[in-house]
Amino acid sequence: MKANHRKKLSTDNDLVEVLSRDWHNIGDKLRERIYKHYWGYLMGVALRYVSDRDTAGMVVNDSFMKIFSNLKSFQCADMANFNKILKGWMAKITARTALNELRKYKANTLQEPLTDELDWRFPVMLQDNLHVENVCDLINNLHPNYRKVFTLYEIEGFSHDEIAELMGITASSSRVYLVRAKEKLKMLYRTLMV
Amino acid sequence: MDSEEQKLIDEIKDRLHNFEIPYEEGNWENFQKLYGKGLNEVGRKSGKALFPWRYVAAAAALIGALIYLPWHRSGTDETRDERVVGYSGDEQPREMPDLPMSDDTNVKIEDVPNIGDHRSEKRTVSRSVINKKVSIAGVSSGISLPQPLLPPTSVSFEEPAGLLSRNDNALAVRDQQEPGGSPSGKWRFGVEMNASFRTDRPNVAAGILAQFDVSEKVKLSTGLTYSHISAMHSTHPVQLSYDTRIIGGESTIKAIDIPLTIVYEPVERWYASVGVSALAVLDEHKIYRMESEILRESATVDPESGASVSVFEVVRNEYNQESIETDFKGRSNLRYLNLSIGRKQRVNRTDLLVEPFVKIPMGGLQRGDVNLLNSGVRIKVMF
Repeated sequence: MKANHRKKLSTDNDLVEVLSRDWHNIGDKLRERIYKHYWGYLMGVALRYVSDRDTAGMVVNDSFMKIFSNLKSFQCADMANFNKILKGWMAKITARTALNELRKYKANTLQEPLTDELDWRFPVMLQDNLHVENVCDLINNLHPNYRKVFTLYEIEGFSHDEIAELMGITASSSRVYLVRAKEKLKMLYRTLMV
Repeated sequence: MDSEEQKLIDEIKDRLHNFEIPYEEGNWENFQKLYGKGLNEVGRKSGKALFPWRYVAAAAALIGALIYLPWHRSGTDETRDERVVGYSGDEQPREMPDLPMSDDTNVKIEDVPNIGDHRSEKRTVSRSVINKKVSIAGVSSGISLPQPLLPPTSVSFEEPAGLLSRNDNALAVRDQQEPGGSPSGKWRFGVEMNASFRTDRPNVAAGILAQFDVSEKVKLSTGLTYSHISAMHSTHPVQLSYDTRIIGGESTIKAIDIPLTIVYEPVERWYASVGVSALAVLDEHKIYRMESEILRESATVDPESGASVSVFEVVRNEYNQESIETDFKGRSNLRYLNLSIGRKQRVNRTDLLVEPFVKIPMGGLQRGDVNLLNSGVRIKVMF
C-alpha cells in the first residue's frame, strides 16, 4: 500500500515535471495522464458551483477540452510553483465553464430572491473539528449567489470585476455578496462548533 | 474582519483548495468518446494559427492558376500571329527573288487597290485569289506558283516590296485581336472598398481583387478583403438574476474575406454579380448589453404632515459586459452568399465601379444569435 502510494506520488511528480519542461507540445498519452491526474481536482472545483454530479462531470469534460485547446497559451512565471499555478489556471477555466453551464438554466438558478430563510435551511451538526465534508456542507447551504461569489473570490482568486462579468451582476453586488457570505459562514461555524 | 473570522476563512479556503475526488475509472474513455474529434483537432499542429493563411494560400493558388492558364493560351496565339507576320513581312521578300515574277522584264505585279481592306480583316488569302491578281505580261492565263514557295498569306504579294513592314503587320494582328474592343481572355486588377451600416458603427472593408474576362459579358472575379464587421445580436431579453438581465449584444469581427464571384454584364456599363466568399476570422469581440434594476430608498418629508416618508424607486442601469466566449473565431465553414448590381464608368484607362451589395451569411456564420446579414455600397477601381 505504502509502496503503491509512493509509486503514485512519484508518477504524479514525474507528470508535473514533464509538463513543466514543455507543456506546449503534449501527445495523446500525456493528455490522458493529465486528464486522470487532474480530474478529481477539477471535479472538486465543479462541485462548488453545481451540486449535480453528472452536470459536474460534464463541466469537467468541457473544461478539459478548453484546457487542452489553450494549454499553449498557459504561462508560468514561477516555475517553482508550476503545479499550483497550473491548478489555479485549470480551476479558473472550470469555474467559468460551470458558471456558463449554470447560465443555461439561469431562470432556475440565479433568480432566487435574497431572503434570509434560504440561508438557514441546514441541519445543525456538532463537530469537534471542521472537516472538508463540513466545509462543503457549509458552503452548499449558503445562498447560491453568496456561495458563488465566495468561492470565485476566495478560492479561485477572481476579482470582483471578473465575478461581475461571470455572474452578470455588478461589482458592488459582488462585494456585498462576499461580505454577507462571510458573515453567514461565521455564524454557521459558531453554531456548529458550539 | 477579526482574526477569528480570518482564521475561519483561511481554514475553509485551505480545505477547499485541497479538496479532490479520487479518479473514477472509465471517465477518460467517456471523454475520448465524447470529444474524440475535438481532441484530434487539438492535437494537430497549430491549426488555429494557420487558419487564415490557409485561405490566403488557397486564394493565391487560385489566382495564380487562373492567371497562368489564360496567359499561357494567349502566348500561343501570339506566337502563331508572329509567324504569320514573319511570312508576310520578312521572309517573303527573301523568297521572292527566286520566283519567276521577281524578274522585272517578264513579270509584273498588277496594282490591286482593295488589298488593304483584306489586310485588316483576314490573316490569309486563298491561293485562287492570288492567281487572279498575279499575271505575266503577254500571257493571258494566270501563273501557278510552286507549292513550297507560296506563303500562307498573300498580303505582301499585292503590295509593292518594302511598303508593308513588320510593324504594319503587327498592327494588323493587333487590330484582329481587339475587334471592337472585345476584352475576352483578359486579366484586370484593382482595389475595392465597401461600407455598410448594421450598428452605430460602419462596417468597412478594403482589399485587392483580380478579374478575368471570360467573355465580353461574363467575368470571373476573386480577391482578398480585410473586413471589420459589427453585428447586433437578435436575442430576446434573458433574465440572469433577480436584478440583472441581458437585453442584447454586439459582436465585432475582424476577418479576411475571400470571394469568388461571377459577373454578368448584359448591357454596357451595367452588371450583376453573384458569388460566395469564405471568411477567416482573425479577431472577435462579443459584448452583452446588460440591464440591472436596483431598488433605491430615499427619505423625504411630507409637506402636509411634516413626517418623514420613505420613497422607493427602481433605478435602471444599462451597461456593457464583454463576453469571454466567441461565436466564430477559430471556426471553419464561415461563408457568405454575395449578391450585387453595379455600374461601371470609364475614366481614362481606369474603370470606376459603384456597386450596391448584399451579403447573406451561410454555413457557420448562421450560428448563434449574431445577425451578420450585411448590405451596403462597394466602390471598385479596376486598372
